[in-house]
Amino acid sequence: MAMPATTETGGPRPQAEVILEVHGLTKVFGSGRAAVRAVDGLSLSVRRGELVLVMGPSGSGKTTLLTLIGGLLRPTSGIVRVNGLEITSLKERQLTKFRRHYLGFIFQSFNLLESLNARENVEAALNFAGVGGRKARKRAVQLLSDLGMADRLRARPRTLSGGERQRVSIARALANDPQLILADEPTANLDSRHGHEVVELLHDITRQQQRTIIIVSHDHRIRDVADRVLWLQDGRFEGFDEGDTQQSALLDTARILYGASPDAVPPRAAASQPIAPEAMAPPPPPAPAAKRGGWLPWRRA
Amino acid sequence: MVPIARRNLLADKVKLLVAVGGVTLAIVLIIVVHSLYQGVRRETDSFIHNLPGDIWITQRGTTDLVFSNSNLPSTAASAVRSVEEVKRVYTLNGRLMAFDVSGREVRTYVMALEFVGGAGSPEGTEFVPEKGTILLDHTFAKQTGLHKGDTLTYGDKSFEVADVRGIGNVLVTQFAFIRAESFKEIFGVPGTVNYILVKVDDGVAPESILQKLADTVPGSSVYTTQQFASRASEKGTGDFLPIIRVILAISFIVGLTVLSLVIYSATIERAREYAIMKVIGASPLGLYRIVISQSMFIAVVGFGLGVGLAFLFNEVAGNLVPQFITYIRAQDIALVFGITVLMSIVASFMPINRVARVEPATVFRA
Ligand SMILES: Nc1ncnc2c1ncn2[C@@H]1O[C@H](COP(=O)(O)OP(=O)(O)OP(=O)(O)O)[C@@H](O)[C@H]1O
Ligand SMILES: [Mg+2]
Repeated sequence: MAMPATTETGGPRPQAEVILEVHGLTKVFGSGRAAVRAVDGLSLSVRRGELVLVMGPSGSGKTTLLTLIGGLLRPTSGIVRVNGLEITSLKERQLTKFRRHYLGFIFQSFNLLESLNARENVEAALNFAGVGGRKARKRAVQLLSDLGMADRLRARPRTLSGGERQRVSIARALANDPQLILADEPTANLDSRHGHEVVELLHDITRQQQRTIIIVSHDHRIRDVADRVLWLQDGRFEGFDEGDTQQSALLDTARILYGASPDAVPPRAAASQPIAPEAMAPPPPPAPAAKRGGWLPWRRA
Repeated sequence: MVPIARRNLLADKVKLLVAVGGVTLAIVLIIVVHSLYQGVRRETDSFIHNLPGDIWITQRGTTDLVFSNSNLPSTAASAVRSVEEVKRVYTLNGRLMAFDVSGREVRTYVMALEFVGGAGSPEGTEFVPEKGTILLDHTFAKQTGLHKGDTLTYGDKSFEVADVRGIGNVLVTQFAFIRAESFKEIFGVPGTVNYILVKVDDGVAPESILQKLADTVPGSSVYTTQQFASRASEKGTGDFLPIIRVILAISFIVGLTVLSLVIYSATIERAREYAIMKVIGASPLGLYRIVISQSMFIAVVGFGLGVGLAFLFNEVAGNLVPQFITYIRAQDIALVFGITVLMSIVASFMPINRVARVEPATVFRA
């Protein structure tokens, strides 16, 4: 399979290692006339500590992309590599192990186990990874306490508020110390205050713990903390023309600039508008862009 | 480890109760029916062992005491006596008899034991009452309301109850004893006896003279007491066996069905949670274990309750219905436990299959 290097988008941190690489990822549901190309030849590379936001209209393939990266669906074609490991060629059992140790998942509807209390929900994830007994319990309590849930350890999900439930699910996602966290609409079921809390939490996780998070969301607040914002449309990252390297480069530069960490790009006026390709080009050419140009992915090859 | 299986079960108490109830019912039925069967077997066995003799001689083809006939020439008894290794000889006669008790008909299996001859003093005198009296089994007495001193009549003969004891209760009937003279007067077919019981000389193994005795009595079958007891208790209950098997099978199916339905619906209900667990790294085997644990938990609790209730039921039923005779053996409990485990494993098949097919990707749908 040919690897369309030109469609890659690069990460913003030159020193950090690449955690996730996606090449020519395609997922077709159904066949014949009814076939849906949910994800259509995506390529992407994400570095350690990056917080990447994927946006796009309903049905554009965002969730499908996450499930492919998470090894929950087999791609029709293309490659997903996490931490150098090509997961697309793993067997089911290996995939389970991989998810257990490398990935954390956060969902829109929390997806906690209803009959377990908060602590047990986190503990169960540790149990699945072979950590048991007091060690698992201690870690679960620690994680929940760190997220401000120390006094709700024994509460059942049904008795928790949405924000609390999402904190439990974040604690669960962190339980096995994963490098990569995949979050699908983590704030969509929360009111604005709790949504904001969750955004802050996820931001802290990337910055303080150097984990990588890919968030699918419509939540504009996440754009404020995202290192990068990718716009998905009909299964493709919008604004890329595979035939036009120059245009891709420009669009990508714009994206990086607008989506870069807050210290790199001051006021978010531009980024807070809908990210349409025409809004991103031409990119403002400030100094940082030039500096970063040296490691932009399309220059690598 | 977080006890996910138990938490899931306890989260739906109604379901848990239904499932445990179903299994309990099945276990009670299985144990009670089986203990009834074992009770009859044991009673037949011990009745035969309590009578004197190391060897039983019956007409060829006789299977048991109650359901089949045995007729031997009475001359055979003296022929047997002359065999060298034989110490003492008895005859045993018996048949089902209907007596009249103040206008009411009662039926019992009447036997008569007679010492024919031999060295030393005869055993089994406790089965030989005075003339004109009868020994009754206590179950029969309880069932018919007869007591010591009451009178049973048969035609122009009457028998006073000399004693009420545990003689032998084989569910369909109970054994009673009268004197051999009386038996002959009433039913005696001249020149025939039903069974010949043989006591062998000290130091002689009964097995060693079986063939010799068979040659001595043409048309007979010769057994050690042990052999005949097993044969009679086996054949004496053999006619119930198919019925018992049907009841056991139905009980098993009832328990299995209730358990399967509950486990299956509990699994379907939590299909999404199984998908979630798959996503966050649970191995399929770990998930199957959750399903099996749930099934096992219900089955084992049902088993425990079932065993307890079966004992209670037998106790109460035995008091209400005197001939309801039961015997619960340790190995039967173990067998029923095996059946319980089998039930829980079979009940897990479909749910496990369902869990195996759960698509983890579905958890992303809100
Ligand atoms: N299992 C499936 N079978 C068939 N088609 C599917 C399946 N999953 C997704 N699709 C289709 O693939 C396309 C992308 O779906 P996906 O769920 O990835 O979109 P999305 O961007 O997450 O949308 P939303 O914002 O509404 O969650 C849609 O057209 C959807 O109908
Ligand atoms: Mg989606």
